[in-house]
Amino acid sequence: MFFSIKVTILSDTRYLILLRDLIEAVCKVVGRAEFSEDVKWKCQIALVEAVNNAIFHAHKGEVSKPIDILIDVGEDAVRLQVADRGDGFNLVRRSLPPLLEEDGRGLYLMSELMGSVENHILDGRHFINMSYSFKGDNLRVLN
Amino acid sequence: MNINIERQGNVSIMRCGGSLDADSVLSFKKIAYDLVEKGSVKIVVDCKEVSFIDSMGLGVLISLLRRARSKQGDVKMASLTDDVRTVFEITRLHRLFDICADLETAYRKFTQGT
Repeated sequence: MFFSIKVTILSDTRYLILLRDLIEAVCKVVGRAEFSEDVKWKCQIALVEAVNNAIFHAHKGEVSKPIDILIDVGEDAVRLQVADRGDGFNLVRRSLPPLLEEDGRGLYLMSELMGSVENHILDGRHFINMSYSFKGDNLRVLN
Repeated sequence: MNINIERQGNVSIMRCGGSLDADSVLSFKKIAYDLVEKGSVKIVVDCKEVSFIDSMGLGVLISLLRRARSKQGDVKMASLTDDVRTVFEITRLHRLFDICADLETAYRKFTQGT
């Protein structure tokens, strides 16, 4: 089964529920045998965290700036891509902040939940690509 | 997110439903901070109906915990779903928060001082 969903949203947290519902819908189409509840919630959190990063860090909360999202489902894996208009950042293996620190867990969650995470800048847009294998060989590679 | 507040003795229970995420943290913060400002510093966050939490949701809970503890109070989490609990564990926040199996346990811990 191969299909892609492309969505462009504004930098507004009101769209987060739409993105979670899209992952839920993908889960239903692919079927729970491969896209289990476990895969679903991991993808939901990773996608939301990437979009939060775009809204608050890349776009500094400027609502009018668009965020492009791609959910790409293949035979063996699901790929999530979030593209913002920010300057990007150095995606290194993140450690957790001190327990009482209120911020700084988003990238850690993305890297812990997804099989691979990488980012790059192309044509004025910053891309985060995350993927999760249905086969279970998610070695958590950070590129 | 919908939030209902109940009071049992000197313990305030925040019954939350829906998602605690970047879209709902402001409303959660407003209600929660108001509780603390008014002297309710023993708070149970009942998460039985919380289906989703992101890092910003975690952040607002930490913020509430810090506020409550600064006034010799505390925040206990109750009835986390498996997914929400896993997020706490991945981020090691199960070491910071007292996570109780249910509301009754959280309330008992407050009233018995454990």
